[in-house]
Amino acid sequence: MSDPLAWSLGRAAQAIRDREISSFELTEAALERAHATQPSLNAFIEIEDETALAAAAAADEALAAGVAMGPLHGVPLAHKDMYDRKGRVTGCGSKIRKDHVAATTATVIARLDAAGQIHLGRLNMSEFAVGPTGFNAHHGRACNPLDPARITGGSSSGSGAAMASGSAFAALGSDTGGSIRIPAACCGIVGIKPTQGRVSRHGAMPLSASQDCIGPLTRTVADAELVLSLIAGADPLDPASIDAPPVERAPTVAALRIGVVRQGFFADGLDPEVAGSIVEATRILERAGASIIEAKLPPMEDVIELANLVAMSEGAAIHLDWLRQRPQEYGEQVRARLVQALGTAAPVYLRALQLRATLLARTLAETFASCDALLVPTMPTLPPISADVEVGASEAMTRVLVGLSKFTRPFSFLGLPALSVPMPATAAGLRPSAQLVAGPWQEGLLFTLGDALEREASGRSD
Amino acid sequence: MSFGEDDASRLLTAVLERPPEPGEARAIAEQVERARRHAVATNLAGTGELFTVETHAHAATLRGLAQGGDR
Repeated sequence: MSDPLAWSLGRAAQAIRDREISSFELTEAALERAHATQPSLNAFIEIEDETALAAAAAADEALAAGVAMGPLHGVPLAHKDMYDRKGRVTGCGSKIRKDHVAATTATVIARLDAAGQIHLGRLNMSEFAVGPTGFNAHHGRACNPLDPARITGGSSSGSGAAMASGSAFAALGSDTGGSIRIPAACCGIVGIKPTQGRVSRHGAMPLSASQDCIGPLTRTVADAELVLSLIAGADPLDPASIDAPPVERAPTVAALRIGVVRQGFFADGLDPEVAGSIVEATRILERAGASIIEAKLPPMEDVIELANLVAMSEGAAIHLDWLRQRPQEYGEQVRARLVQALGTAAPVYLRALQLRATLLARTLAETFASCDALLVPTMPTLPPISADVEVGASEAMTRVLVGLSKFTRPFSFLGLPALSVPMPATAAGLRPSAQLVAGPWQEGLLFTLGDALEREASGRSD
Repeated sequence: MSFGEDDASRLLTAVLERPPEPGEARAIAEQVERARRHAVATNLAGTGELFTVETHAHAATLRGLAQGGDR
């Protein structure tokens, strides 16, 4: 039997159903991996050995008794420390909420529970999901399994590290400006930010009401599709969730029109290995029958700034009381970024929201009228060395942090779905990441394209 | 006239009822300029159509598309 911890989520679920392996054996192996890597990777804030093993044993008993199973029956998952589970701590990677016991269960957790998941523990994250590096002043940073000297990316830092190290079979992250896609890109895995409103946020820690999205980090595109299919759907407990058509793949890559950017934003100043991986991704899709066109985009530098302005204003409103009364309990950089939003006047914030609608209409009319999906890098560079982006609250803070998320943030502001897919490894073992972006509710099209990239990048023969 | 760190310090003290921590006043002053440059002094909306655009229009567009509306 191959190493079960290298299996995909789908393969693991099937193996349990087929009794190739028990849930207990798989969960025990995942817990051992989590403990073995914790000193070097710091992916977890809490590892829940006892309850995980008890739940796995119960899953095996249910299977033996022929009880109806969900699609994730007995498979161990772990999630970012920001999803409420009734009676358990949701710490948000913070000092302020470190002992907060949830009174309810987040809808996404309830849906994965119904599918049969086993909880392994709470994963590390940037404090209150603020920050694309994954640094955390209270819990320490998670380290990148591909190269521990480099950042995992954030804010879903532990989700990236746990998935890349084989400690779990899927992990929920959250994405307000790139917090799923950036760790996926840094750690060489898959991550999807769905269309705004596709997934309920009830019971999830809020940062930005307009841009927060929940999605999975996984090792394969099919796994991301599986998890998204389980958590998606309107929820009366989240009035911002939207009743949308189900995710359905496009039948083939052939005949799809892919927009690429060969100069200007998304192309200039790229790390050569990132640039090369996008050229290769373009070739793969072209060979599969897609037509490649030059994409026309709205002014991205402005879109990035509007995204940051809106997200941080909304975040500051949520944190205002603690910023007044408990400022010392924040990490220096997180506090400075939230307080920074006091420099945005209310009419300017509201104008940015008006511009959001206008820019979406313009993007649909100008960009997606001529292409079905965009192919751009997830990040302009390979994951940076941690010391190179440790800027604290210095003058370099906004430039460096916004720079890391410059290719992800615009699509958060526009509310579009975006999928990050790892491309073949560099000589140093890092994985440049391609980002596929489509119009609203077109996640299925992204999975079709992502699967084509993954098949060639991984040498898969199916 | 630009909005400097002293102004930011007074704003922060008035709103949060505490003096700035290191880096906060500079970050606020910087944000005033960034917001002006990218959200106000732009022509992103073309000529004046923001007058009738509601702040929830983005979500309304996504809902409309989910129900089969045209782009």
